Amino acid sequence: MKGHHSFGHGGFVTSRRDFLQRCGMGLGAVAVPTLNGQSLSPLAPRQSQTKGKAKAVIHLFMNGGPSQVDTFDPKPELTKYHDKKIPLELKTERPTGVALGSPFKFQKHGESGLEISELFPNVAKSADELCVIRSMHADVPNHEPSLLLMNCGDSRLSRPSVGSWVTYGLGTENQNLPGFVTMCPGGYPISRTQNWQSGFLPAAYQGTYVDTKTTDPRKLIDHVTPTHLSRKRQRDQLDFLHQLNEEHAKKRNSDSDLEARLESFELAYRMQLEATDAFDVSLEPKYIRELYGDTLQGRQMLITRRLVERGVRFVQVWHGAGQPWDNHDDLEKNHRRLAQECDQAIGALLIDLKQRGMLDETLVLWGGEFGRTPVVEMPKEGTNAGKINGRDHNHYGFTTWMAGGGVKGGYVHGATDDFGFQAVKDKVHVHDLHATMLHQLGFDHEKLTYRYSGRDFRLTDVHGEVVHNLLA
Amino acid sequence: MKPIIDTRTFSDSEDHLTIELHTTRHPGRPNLFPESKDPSLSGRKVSVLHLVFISLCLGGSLAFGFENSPKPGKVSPPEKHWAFSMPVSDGRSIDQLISSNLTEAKLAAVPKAPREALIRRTFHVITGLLPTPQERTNWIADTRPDWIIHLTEDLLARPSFGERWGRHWLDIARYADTRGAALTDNEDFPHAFTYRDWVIRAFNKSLPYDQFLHHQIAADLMKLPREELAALGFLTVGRAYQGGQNHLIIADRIDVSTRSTMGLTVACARCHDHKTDPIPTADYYALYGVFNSSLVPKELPVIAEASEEPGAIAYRSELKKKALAVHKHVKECDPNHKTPENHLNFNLPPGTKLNQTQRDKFRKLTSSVTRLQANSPFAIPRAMVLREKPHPFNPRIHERGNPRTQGEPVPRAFLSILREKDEHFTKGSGRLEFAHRLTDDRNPLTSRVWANRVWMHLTGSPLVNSPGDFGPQTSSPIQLELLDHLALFLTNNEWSTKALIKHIITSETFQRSSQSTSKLREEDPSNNYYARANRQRKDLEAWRDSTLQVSGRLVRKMGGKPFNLDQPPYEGRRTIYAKTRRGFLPSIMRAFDFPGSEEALMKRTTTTTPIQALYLMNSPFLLGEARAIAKRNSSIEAIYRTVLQRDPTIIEIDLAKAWLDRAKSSRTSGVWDYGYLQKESLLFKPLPHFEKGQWRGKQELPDQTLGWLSWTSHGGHPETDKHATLKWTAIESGQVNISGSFVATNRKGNGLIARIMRPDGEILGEWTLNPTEGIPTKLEKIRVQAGGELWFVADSRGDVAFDSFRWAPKISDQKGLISDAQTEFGGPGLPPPAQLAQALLLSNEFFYID
Repeated sequence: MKGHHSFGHGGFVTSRRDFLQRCGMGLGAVAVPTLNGQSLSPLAPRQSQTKGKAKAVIHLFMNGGPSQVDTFDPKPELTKYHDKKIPLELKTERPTGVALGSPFKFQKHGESGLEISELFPNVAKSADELCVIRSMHADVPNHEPSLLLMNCGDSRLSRPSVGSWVTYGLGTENQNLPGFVTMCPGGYPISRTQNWQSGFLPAAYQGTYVDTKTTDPRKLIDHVTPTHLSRKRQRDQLDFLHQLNEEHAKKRNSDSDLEARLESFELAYRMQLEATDAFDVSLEPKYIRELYGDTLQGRQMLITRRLVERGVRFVQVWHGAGQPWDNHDDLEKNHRRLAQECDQAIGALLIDLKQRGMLDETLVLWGGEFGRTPVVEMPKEGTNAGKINGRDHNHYGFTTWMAGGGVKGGYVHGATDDFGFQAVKDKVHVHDLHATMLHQLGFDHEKLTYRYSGRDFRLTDVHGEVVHNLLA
Repeated sequence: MKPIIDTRTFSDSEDHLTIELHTTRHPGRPNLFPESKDPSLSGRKVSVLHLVFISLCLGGSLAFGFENSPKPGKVSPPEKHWAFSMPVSDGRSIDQLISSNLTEAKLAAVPKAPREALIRRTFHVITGLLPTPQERTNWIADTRPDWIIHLTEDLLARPSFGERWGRHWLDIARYADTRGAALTDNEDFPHAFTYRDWVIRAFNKSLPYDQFLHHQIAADLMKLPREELAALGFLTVGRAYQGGQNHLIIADRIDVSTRSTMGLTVACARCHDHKTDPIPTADYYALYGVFNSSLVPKELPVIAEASEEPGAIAYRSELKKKALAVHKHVKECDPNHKTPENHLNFNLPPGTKLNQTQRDKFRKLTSSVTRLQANSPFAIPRAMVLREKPHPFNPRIHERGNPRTQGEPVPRAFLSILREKDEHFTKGSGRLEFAHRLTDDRNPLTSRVWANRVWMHLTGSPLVNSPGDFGPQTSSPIQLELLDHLALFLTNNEWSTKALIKHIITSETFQRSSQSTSKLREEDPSNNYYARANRQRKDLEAWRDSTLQVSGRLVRKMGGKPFNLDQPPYEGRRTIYAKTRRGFLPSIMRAFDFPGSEEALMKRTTTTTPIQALYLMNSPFLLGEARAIAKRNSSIEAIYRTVLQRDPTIIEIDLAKAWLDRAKSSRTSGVWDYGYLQKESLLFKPLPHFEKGQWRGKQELPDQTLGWLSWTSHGGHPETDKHATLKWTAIESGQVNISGSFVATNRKGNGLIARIMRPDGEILGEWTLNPTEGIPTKLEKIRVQAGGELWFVADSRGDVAFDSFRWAPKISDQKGLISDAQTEFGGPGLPPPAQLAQALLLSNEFFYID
C-alpha cells in the first residue's frame, strides 16, 4: 500500500471504517488497538508513518507577538543605532521611526553559551535544551492572518489547526481526556475558536477550550461534576441515549456529525472523573507547586504537564485573552511584566519535564504569531497611546524556540539582519516549522493527508520543508 | 433591467481560453484534479479564471500589499467579476435550475421528505420552534394539495417568525447589550434592546428589505414615526473603544454597512487600496466622510411614553438621585461646575479638572446610573440614534490608515465600482443617499447577498460559501443562475423577505428528503447540488427554545430588557432576549457557537464538543427542564410524545422500561442522604432544599424552623434541637470499616458531639470535641445488612453559634473503598421519568432537523 494513494473519494466520513480508509496513512498502516473489544474511536491512539521522536506537543503561544530583539535575538548593532535611522526600510502595519535598542541585557547561558535576555532568567536555566530559530518569517504583519497561519497553516482559508492534524494523525493516549486541549486564561485570544478549529477534519479533532483563570478544578470545565445522578445511573442513561442515537443514525445511513455527537457524550462522561483530577494542581507536592509558582501561569503550566503526563496529545497554552504581547507602546514595561508572569512557569515546565524523563518525547514550542520591529512605532491616534516607546508587528523576521522531542539543544538556527528586522540566513517559514514538527511526530508532512471534496489536503498545503538542521 | 457590465458572456462562452489540465500526480504534491468530480472542472477543460482562482487559494496567503507578500497570480479584471454584473434570469424556476445542474453532474435527486419531517422542518426554519402536538396532527391531516403554502403563510404571520429571523440579522449586526471588553465600568448599552426589538418588529411587519436597510442606516433622515429611530442601532451598537477612537468606530460602521449588505470587505481599504477587490482607499474615505458627518447625540431620544406606575415614579426619583450625586461629586472637585438642566448629561465641559481618584469615583458614580437604566424595567426606552453634524465632514485620505498623514481630499460618494465617475453625495452627510444606493437598480450585490442568506437560513447551506465576501476572490458559485433567480424574485416582489421565503419553501428542492444515497455521499458530499435536503442541527436558540417549549416553560413575552441566560431561575423567555455581553459570553453561549459580537458574523460555525455534552448532561438548566417534563408526564409514552412528538416503538418502550426499572432513584443522587434528627427522636428527616452545593432548609438561610441546619460535601451545621444527620444505606450485606475525621472548625464555638449510630438507636461510636479540635472517627468491622442504614450524627453542645463542622466519612470493606461522602456528595436525585426526559432532550432526534 502506497501510503496516501490508497483511500477513497468523497469528502464525508460516513463510518469509522470509512474514516480509516480516508486516513492519509492508509488502513494497513494503522494499528488498531481496541479497548476491551470496544469499537475504534477516531481518537484511539494510532502509530505514525515512522516512529517519531516526539509523542506529544506543547505549544506555548505568546499571543500578540513578542519582540525577538528583546528576548532571544541580541542585536548590538541595533543598540549602536539607537535613536538613529537604520539603513533598512520595511513596511509593517503601522508607521515606524528610528532604531529602538533593546533596553534588556543579554547574557550567555549554559554550556552552549546561548544568548538570552534578562527577561527569561528561568527559561535560561534550560538553555542547553533550547533550539532557537532566529530566522522565522510569516506572510503579513497582521494578527488574524498570522494567527491562522501559525495555527492552521493558512492565513485566509478555513483549515484544520495543527493540533487537529496531530490528533487526527496520532489519536490520543488517554481516552478519558480530550486529545487536544487549548488553555487561555480569562477568555479567548484574537480569532477565537478558529485557532483550534478542526476545519474539514471530523469535529472530534477540534481543540477543547479551558479557561485557566478559574482555580477550582471542578470549575475549569463547566458542568464537569454531576450532582443529580450517581455515576452508575448516568452510565445507564447514556447507554440508553446511545441506543436511541444509533437507531436514529441507522435510519439515516449514518453521518459523521451524528457519530461525532455520540463520541462527545462518551468523552464528557469520562472527563467527569479524570478531568477534575488532571486539572487539580493541589494534588501536586508542595515543592513542585513552588517550582512553578503560585501564579496563573504557574498553574496553567503545571496543568499542562499533568495533561501531557496523562497522555493528552496536544496542549496549547495561550498567555492570555486578546493579545497581551502586542506592545505597541511601553514595550519595556510591558514586556518586563509579561515575561515576569510566565518566565518562572515556563522554566519550571522545562525542568520538570526533563526530570521526569518526559522532555525527550515532548516537543515544546514557544513563540508568537510574529515578532516585533527593531524600530520604534510612531504615534498614531487610537492605536497606541501616542508614546514613542513600542514596536510594531514584524513578520519579516522573528524568533521561536523548540525544546525536547528530538530537537538540537543549545542550538541557534538562522539569523536576522544586523538590526533583527528581517530573516536573512537559513530562513524558516511557518510552513517549514509545521513540516518539521510533523516530522518529529513521525509524519511526512506531504503524506499526512485528508481527502475532502475530491482533493488531498495537508497541513502544509503545497509548501513546507523539514529543517533537518534543527534535529538532534 | 440591463446589466451594467455583462460578464456572463465572457465567463460562460464556449470559446474563451481553455487549458488542458495535466492530472498526473507530482510526487508529494496534492492532486488538484483527481478525476475531477467538480463539474466546474469537468471535461478537464478549465477556464483561466478557475486556474487563477485555484492558484490564488494554493498560494495561500492574502496579498496584503507588502513587498514580501507572495505575489498572487493575475486576478481577472474586477469588472469581469460575476458578482459585479446585474443578476439575469431566463425565466426558469428554482427546481428547473437545480435540476439542470443535477443532470449535468449526472446526479439524481432524492424523493420528497415525509410530511412529518416537512412540518417540523418548516416550523424550524421559519419560527425556530416545534409544532405543538395539536398543530402537528392538524397539518398531517390537512388534505389540501397546497397545504404547505398554507402552513408557510400561517407561520410567517406569527410573531415567532420575527424572533427567529431577527436573530439571524443580529448576528450580522454584531448586536450586543454591552459596549465590549475594552471598557470595564459603564459597560452596558442600556438601550440596545430597542434596536433588537425594532429588528424583530421589522421582520414581523414585513418591512421590505430595501426599506429595512434604509431605516437602519438613515431613519433619522427619513420622515418616520419616532419609534423607527431605534433602527439606527444597526450603526451604533458596535464595539466602543476606550478614549473615543472615533475612526475605529467609523471603521466599524463602514464595515457593518458594506460587508453585511453587499458582501464587500471595504474596511480592508482603510490603509491601502484593496489588493484583490476593486476598492481603492479613496472609496473607504468617501464613506468615512459620510459616517464622520454624523454623531451619537449626548441625549438619546425617548421613543415611548413614560409610565405613571408607582414603580416607574420610584425609578425616576432614584435615577435623579443618582445623577445628582454625580454632579455633586464633580462640584466638590471643581467648584465651577454647574449641574446641567438635563441631569443625565455627564459630559463635563472642557476645562473641568479631575485628578485620577476623582475621575475613578466619577466613573463609578456614572456607571451606577447606567446600570440602573440598564436593569430597571421602568427605564424609558430610547433609540440609539445618529444625528447629522451641522456641517458635513470633507474627508481626506489617511495615508496608510494614519489620521496624521492626511492625503488627497475625496468627495463623499458611493463605491467607485458601482457609480458614475462624477456621481457624489450632495445631501448633507450623504447617509440617506448611501442607503438608497445600496438597493437601487444599479446595485447588483445587495439583493444577491440577501437572497444567498435567505437560502442559507432555509436550506442550511449558502449558494455562495462566503456570505460576507462577494469580491473577486470569490469564484462564481455552481448555482449562480439560481442565486440570480432568487435575487430577481426578491427585487421583483418589492424586496419582500416573506415572499422569498415562501417561494423557496414551496419548491421541490426545499421539500426533498434529507436522506442521502451512497452515490451522493461519494460525489457531492457537501451537497452543492441540492439533490437532497441538508440535515440541520439546531443552533443554540433553536434547541434552547424548543427545550423550553416541550418542558412547558416557554414564556412568549416579546421584547424588553434582556435577561441573564446562565443564572437561576433560568427564565423561560426565548434566547434572543438573553443578554449578550460582548467578549464575555457565558459558557452556554460559548459552548454552542454563539457569535462573539465583535464584528458582523456572516455564517456561524457548528462545533461538536464534549463541553456541549457536559452542559447537556449536568447543567442545572437542562436538569430543570427534564424535571419539568417529568412533572407533567409520567408514562414513557407521554414523555416520548412530549419531547420527540411521536409514539415510542414497542422496542423503545421495552428498552426504556428495562432501564427505568433499574434507574429507580432515591431522594438524593446516591447512597447518602442529608437530614436531621429531632432531639430525643429516632426519625430521620431529610433537608428539603438543595442550593449551590448545599442541602438546607430553604433557598436563603436561616430557615424559620430549620435554622442553619445544612450539609455540604465537606460537613455541615447542626441546630439547637436538631442534630445534623448524614444517612448511608448499604447496597450489600457485609462487614465494613469506617474512617474519616470530625473537625469543629470554628474557634468561637463551644464544641460538638459526633456520633455514629443505627436507626434503632444503637450507638457505635461517640466523640466529644472542643473548638478547632479534630478527631478521627474510626470504627472497624461493623456489620450491615443490604438496605440497612448507618447514621452520622453531629450534635451541638447546647449553643449552636459557630458550630460548623467538617465531616465526610469513608466506608470500605476488605476489598477497598465502598463509599466516600465527599466525592459522592450530590443534589436531589433525578427521578426516572426525568432521566428519560433528559435522555430524549439529548438525543440526535431532538437536536437535528431532517
